[in-house]
Amino acid sequence: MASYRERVVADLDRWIAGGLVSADKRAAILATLPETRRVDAATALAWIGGVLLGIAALAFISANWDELPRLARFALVLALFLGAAGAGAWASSRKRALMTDIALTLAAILFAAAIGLTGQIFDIVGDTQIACYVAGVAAFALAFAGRSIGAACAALVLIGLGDLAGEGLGGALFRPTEFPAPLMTLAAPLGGWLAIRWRAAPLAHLSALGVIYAVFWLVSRAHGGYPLLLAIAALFAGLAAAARWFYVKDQHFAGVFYGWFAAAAFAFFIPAGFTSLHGDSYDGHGLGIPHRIVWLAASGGVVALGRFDRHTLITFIGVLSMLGAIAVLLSDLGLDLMSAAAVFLVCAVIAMLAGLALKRRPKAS
Amino acid sequence: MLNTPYRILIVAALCVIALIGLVVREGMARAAGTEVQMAMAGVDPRGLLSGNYVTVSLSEALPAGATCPQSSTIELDPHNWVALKVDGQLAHAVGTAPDRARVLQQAPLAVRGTMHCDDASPGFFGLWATHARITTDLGIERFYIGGDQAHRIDEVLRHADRNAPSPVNAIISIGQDGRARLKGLSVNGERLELNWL
Repeated sequence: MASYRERVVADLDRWIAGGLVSADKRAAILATLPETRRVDAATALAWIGGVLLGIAALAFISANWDELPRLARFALVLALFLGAAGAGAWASSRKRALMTDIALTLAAILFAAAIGLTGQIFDIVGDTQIACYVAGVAAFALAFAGRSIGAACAALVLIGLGDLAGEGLGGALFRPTEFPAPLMTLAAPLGGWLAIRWRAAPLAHLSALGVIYAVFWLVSRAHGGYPLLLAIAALFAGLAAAARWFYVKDQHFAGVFYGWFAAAAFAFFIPAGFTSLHGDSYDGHGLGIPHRIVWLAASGGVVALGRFDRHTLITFIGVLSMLGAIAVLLSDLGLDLMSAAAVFLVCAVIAMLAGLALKRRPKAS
Repeated sequence: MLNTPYRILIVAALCVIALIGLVVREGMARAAGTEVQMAMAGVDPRGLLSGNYVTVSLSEALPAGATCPQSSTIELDPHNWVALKVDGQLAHAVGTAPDRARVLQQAPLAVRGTMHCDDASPGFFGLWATHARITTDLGIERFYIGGDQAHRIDEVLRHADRNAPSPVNAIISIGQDGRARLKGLSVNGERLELNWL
């Protein structure tokens, strides 16, 4: 898909050919546009090469592990980590940002491996959760030191694994842990701030998911009913609106937060309609048909917004949500087709009137 | 503000120092702790080995006719303490309690962990009868060792009589902090200890 800059270049050339804009203004106009950071084939191959190099090194070491004395194994582990970090420092001194990023990402992964291998080498009993947290904090430190997006992503993944560690996947998610809240409640906002500062889309994806996960963790322990879920849905809708505001200001990476927070808003709004007031067992008397109607209307609004903003994920979320709302509404109405026809007719009229009002607004002004 | 290369090197150095410090601290705690040996059992002979380590399962059969201690627990509480009583060469778990002070009233040694006891089974007309068995979890799960040694230990444990004293014992150091640290294994009296080399 063409970036904004590429679309402007195409349009600009067409306008110059049509005599609408003078050719000598071309460079000045394009200079006002932000450079698009896209991963080209060479960059992607460099990343793949870095990862495969790390895997090759690990496989080689694993094959010869038993023959090495313990101190030698430990020294090797530290040497690998220092080598990656040193490579990152060298690349940084040469202003080679991509190589710095790859090297520090590798260093972050190697340090996480080093923690585990140190425990294995010296038979040190440790807490998996603490080990993941320490590795995550070290990865963040490397990310800050070298402005490494990859290391920051690795940090979020490690901290997420730490939150889930202890009793297996989902164990810490659904059972109490010794910590009052997952460390992701701190890590995800930090990752989001870095993503905004560094305009890093992968980091934006992970931090958005981290925020959603952390909120879900907290909500699952609050044992609240539908008021809590509705409040959280409203919170995420507000965050999505804020992200959209940046998105329409040509901060395109904000589209990542826009999409994920819109999805999260639905993810909390939909179950609210099937939850009792106090969060205890659902007796079928939740929010009922009004919830479904609002769900349907919101889905339609999101589809329209997605098309208006040219945001594929928003449109997709809206369509998916709408399909779900229709199916659930039909089920709630007991497949009473006359009632369903009435409800859908009302929603259709509202949607059409809204579209008509939007269409007339520019003409009135 | 420091240049980026120096920042990276400082962070990397701090990470390395932290790891070295951890190893040194654990080594000192292991050396300074009270050494005991505890009987081991195979968890599942077919699953005992995965890679080059031995699964450490601290489990021993009680003498014939003996019953489970009153204070053995079923729920695994990570904050629990286990009372250890040394009898001859081996230490035996004799009870648990939620805090160190209460555990020390039961036995001279206290270690962080959990203990549960399976009652004796009469079997089928005396066949396949089992004694009561105490299993202790001190947080030690594995002993990393070379492939040949690991297979040898596996064979020894696989052919051991479940109702007889175990031929393989775990050598454990109990630190001032109450944590158990593995020092090595004793296989038919032969010590396989962790060392720096």
